Amino acid sequence: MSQKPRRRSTNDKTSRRPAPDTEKSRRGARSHQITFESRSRAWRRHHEQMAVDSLHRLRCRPLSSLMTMMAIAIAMVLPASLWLALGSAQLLDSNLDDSARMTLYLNPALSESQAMDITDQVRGESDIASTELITAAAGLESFQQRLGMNDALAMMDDNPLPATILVQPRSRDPKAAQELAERLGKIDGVTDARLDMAWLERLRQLSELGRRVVLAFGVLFALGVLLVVGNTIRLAVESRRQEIEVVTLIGATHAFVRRPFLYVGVWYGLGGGILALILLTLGREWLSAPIDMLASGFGSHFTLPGIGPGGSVLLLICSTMLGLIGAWLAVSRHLADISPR
Amino acid sequence: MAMIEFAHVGKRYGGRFEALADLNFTVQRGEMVFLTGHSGAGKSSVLRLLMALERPSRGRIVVAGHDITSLHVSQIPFYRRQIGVVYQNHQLLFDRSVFDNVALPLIIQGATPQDARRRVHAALDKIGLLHREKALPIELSGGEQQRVGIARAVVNKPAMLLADEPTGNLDPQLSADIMRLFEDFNRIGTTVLLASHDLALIARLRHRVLKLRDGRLVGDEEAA
Repeated sequence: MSQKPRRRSTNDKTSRRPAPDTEKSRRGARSHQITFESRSRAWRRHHEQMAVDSLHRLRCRPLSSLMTMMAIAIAMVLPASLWLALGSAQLLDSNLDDSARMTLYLNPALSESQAMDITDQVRGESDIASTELITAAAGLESFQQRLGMNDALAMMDDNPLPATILVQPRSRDPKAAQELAERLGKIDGVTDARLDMAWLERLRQLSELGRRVVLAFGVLFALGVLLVVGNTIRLAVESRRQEIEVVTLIGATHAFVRRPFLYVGVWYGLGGGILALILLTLGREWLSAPIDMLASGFGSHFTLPGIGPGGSVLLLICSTMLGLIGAWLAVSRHLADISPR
Repeated sequence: MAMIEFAHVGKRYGGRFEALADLNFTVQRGEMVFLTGHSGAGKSSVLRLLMALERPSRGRIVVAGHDITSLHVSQIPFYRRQIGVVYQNHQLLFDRSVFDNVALPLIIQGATPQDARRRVHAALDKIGLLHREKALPIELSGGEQQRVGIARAVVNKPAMLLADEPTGNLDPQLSADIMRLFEDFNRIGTTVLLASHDLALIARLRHRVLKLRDGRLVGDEEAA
């Protein structure tokens, strides 16, 4: 829009208005042009004011603000804890060894030297990358260490475990591995040859399933956060409808009208994120005692994973962004409603 | 030079009701013009079109040489900053002081606080309410509230002042005072377009009168 009308009125006013103080009236005319610098300073000032003002508005209604933040927090906690649980099961760990390992179970009646002979024989076969013999005694020892079942195993007269040979085939082709397993299974003294691939494949599928479940829940709950924030902001817009109308009438841009509500959305999102972190920490504390006891019962040192600083920052960024977007959508809908037709 | 030009302007609501039909008139810069007619004659539609609150169904509206009917939504705020509008119901914000209400257009335009304070004081001084700057609008009388509305409309020195029934709720004495304010602004060059159905008051003031009936211009009487 042109500056014409304004400049004209300025000239008119300065020239025709009775000016008892010429210095003063000249200053008035000059400062009538609002410079770009003044405008950008005003923009920053308005941001600061709206950030503080919107926070103040939330503080004026502590209960309803807290309830909104709590709803956001709960919607954030559920997918986040699912993510952590999957992470602790290492299902999300994508660098699972993808080679096809196989285990040869030897006849328990064989002596240790016989087992070593068979290992040499296996190593002599083609397509073998490496072999590792786990004698019956070594197997029992690691079994005891891992599961802490000393007493139960000590009660047994004989070692129930057979000696095993871990074989790493050179080829990664499942079919070739299958053929190799069949060939090795026919060696004298080998009772069974098991390919670990099936298990590996199942684990991979399970991890994919887990990832998809987390993603689906994440998307659903993110949508939930958007709706919660959107609805809350819609009510805030509704209660300040007259103010929006007035500032729009006197030349406020959409950005100006939107700004206070965007800050409200940001504060809701940030508050919800902080509450979600508190909930996650409390939940971990609450579950850690029984899990420690359970784990020590199995002789394990398993601990529940925390969300960590990186995860915390990510969660806060996500919740804040969701608050911002929810607010944006709510105000934009209202602004579209009042645009001229 | 023309400030406002309506050329074959028509406005239909909901595709059926015709609020304005083929309206043609021109208001020169520095003129003071009354817009009269019964309620429903189209006064408010004319003002709403001039404020770019609505777009005409037909025709062209040119303000200060610019076609405002084709303004993009993002340009409308900058257009509105150059016109001052006074409403019958004042449209003041009741949760903030008189000062803050008058300063609102300046805040929106990004004036510095010092500049805003000086100009708000000047506007309040002009309408005689400088001593009430800290009051809330609710503490003021109807006439005082209307004067605050006027101060807000003129605080950024617009070239054009629009008023929709500015004296609608006021007694004759207060109405005359308010009209004198508009005349003062007109005297220093502001174009003033006032919608009113207070015919007695209009007759006394001797300005050009545009008369609307059923969305058509039925009279254009030059100032006597």
